[in-house]
Amino acid sequence: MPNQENHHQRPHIRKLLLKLIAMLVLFIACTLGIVAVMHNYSLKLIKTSQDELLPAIHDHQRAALNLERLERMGDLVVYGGSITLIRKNALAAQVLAFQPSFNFSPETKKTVQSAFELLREVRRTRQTLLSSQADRLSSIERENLIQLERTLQIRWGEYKQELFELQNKIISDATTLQTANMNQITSTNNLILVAASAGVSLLLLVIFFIGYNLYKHLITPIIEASSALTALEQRSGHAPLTEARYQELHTIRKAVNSLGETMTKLHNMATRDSLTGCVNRGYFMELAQQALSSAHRNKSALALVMLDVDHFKKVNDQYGHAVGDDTLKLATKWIRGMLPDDAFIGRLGGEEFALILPDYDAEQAVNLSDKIRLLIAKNSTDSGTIPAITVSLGVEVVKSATDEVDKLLSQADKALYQAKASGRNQVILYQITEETADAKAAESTVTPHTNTRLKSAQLDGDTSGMHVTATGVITNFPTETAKPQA
Amino acid sequence: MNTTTQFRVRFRTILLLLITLTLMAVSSFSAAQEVIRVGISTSFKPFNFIDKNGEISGYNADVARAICDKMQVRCEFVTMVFPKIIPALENNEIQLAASNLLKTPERLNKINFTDKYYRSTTSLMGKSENSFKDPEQLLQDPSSRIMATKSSTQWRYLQENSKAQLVSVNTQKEALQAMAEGKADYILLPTLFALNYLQQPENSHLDFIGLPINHPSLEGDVHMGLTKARPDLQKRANKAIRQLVDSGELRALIDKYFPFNVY
Repeated sequence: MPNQENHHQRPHIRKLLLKLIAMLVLFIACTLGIVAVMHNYSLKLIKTSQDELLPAIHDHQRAALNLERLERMGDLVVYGGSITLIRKNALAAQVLAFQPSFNFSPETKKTVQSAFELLREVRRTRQTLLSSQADRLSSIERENLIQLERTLQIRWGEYKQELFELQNKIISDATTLQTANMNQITSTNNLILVAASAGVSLLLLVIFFIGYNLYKHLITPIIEASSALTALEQRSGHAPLTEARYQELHTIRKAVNSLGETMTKLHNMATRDSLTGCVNRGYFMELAQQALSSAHRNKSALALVMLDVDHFKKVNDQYGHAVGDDTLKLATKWIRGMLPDDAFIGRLGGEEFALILPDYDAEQAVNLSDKIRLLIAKNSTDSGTIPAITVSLGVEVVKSATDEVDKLLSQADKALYQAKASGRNQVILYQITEETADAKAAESTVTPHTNTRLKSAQLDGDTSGMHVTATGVITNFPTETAKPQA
Repeated sequence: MNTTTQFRVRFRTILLLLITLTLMAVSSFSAAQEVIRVGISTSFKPFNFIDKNGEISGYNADVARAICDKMQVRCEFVTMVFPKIIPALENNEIQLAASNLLKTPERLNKINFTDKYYRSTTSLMGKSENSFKDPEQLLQDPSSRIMATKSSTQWRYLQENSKAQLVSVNTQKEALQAMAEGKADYILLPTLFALNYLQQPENSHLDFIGLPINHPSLEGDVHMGLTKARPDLQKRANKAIRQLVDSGELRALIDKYFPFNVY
């Protein structure tokens, strides 16, 4: 490809691939980043629960157990039988009541310490009652002390209830903490799950986008180019390739398109007659063979017409070769205008042409041939640029499955010869083969169709001798049933 | 033949090499059994005392041993009076101190601390007949004679907050003796130590004086001390303590020495 054509530089495929890879990498990096952040968050949560929540839960549990011990110590102080036992437990209760392990809850701390105040009083009262000094007390003092002891015992019962409730509350607080902890962990897990599934969905989307881009910018142009090349190879036409965004595919597209154009040009040069645009003799024979094979295969009709311009040498001599060329050009143009789509015209040489008319039986072929004859005569007369001309045509149709192109051509040629011999400007249908009739008989069966218009124009007053009219072309037409081989 | 001989020679070399390496590994492993010197005092039942077999016993000693176990090091106890403990840590004479240390800013400059291994308060101890007196008042009374162990937080508190006559001692044993001899009226001391002492039947003439002293410098988390020369020990010791807490081993030790959970 010449570089000067690329006025604006297209991006290379490499760029597309790099873009897609970069996109994928970026996406994966983002996903990993998010995963890392969430992982970090979840680790932090675990650490928080290990460093704060778990110790807090343990603190609550320890406090609950210590409360229970306090109750037991209190019972021994309140109901214990010996001074030593009372003293020992009262001392322990004091230390426990002020132990910092109750500091986490001011309410607990307050209740425990006032419970201890009570125990202290119980201790004093009961120690006095149980000690040796008790004997020295008056009965009233003694009675008062016993009364006080009972009151304190009842109050201790109330305190115990309070301590018991406190204990329950601490345990349920611990449970709440634990539940909160669990909930937090669960919700983090859910969050991670949601993020992960979102990431996977997005990944699918990204993959889809990448696939779409590859398909649109890479695969589709390649498929198009490939089918265009196949079409070129089979010499059938192909639609021009669509624009490609990327440089390499654009290059392929341009190469395929220009290859197609070149091939069409070369094909035309090899198969067409440069003057008239008709197919040349060689290609005509090829196409005729194809049409004949197809007619044999489909058991369809096929007509072959030989056409020759009458007295063409005179045209050349009289008006010069340039006019002669123009004459041929125009004549073939008019003929082509009359041909159906699947028919074609070949220039066999000089002023001699041949038509292949698929699906035409003898009657249709003669009809068309006569229309051609009339049209050329009329158009050339009307035309100011070329002299008035006439043409002679010989028609032959496929009659047997063994008919070959050469034979059909020579028979049409014979009919043409007959038309020429019979005074030109007419259409002759070949009727009998040489093998079944002698030349005379053959001649007699060749039916001349003469349009008198041109002749009468040229050969004034000579029409009386002709027994055929324009309509007579058809009336004089021999029936199809007359098979030469029969 | 030649290749077989070669192979044999090579095989023997490899075998020798392997044996050497194994021996080296074993010897280096036994040599690598790290020794940690643990500073501890002996007259502080139930935290640290000499038991009837002559061995160092008590909560502090047991926790220190358990920590060393978890850290996979060998503990070597070094007995010394409490006032020597912090200087010994500073000199790296000992690496760990199992001596009921409360965290103070002053101490933080000198030594490192582990996480807590129990919690404590401070009480005033004296004659039973004074047990209903207000300790705060006694601390402000110039006629009362109050003792505390030298370089303890209690001693520092007295110096900063008390108007009483202050007497410093090197060990609790010394303090108890002085009180028995009538040389002082009160001792300001860790409550849990006092509790153990007071619970002994022979000490029923003594008692707590009022309630524990309510002051932030006298109560709270108690830590092991660590030398600053070995900053790596802090993380390892903390990990060991956490393992002891989580596994319940620490609670078992607490139950062995105290009537309730002191952690």
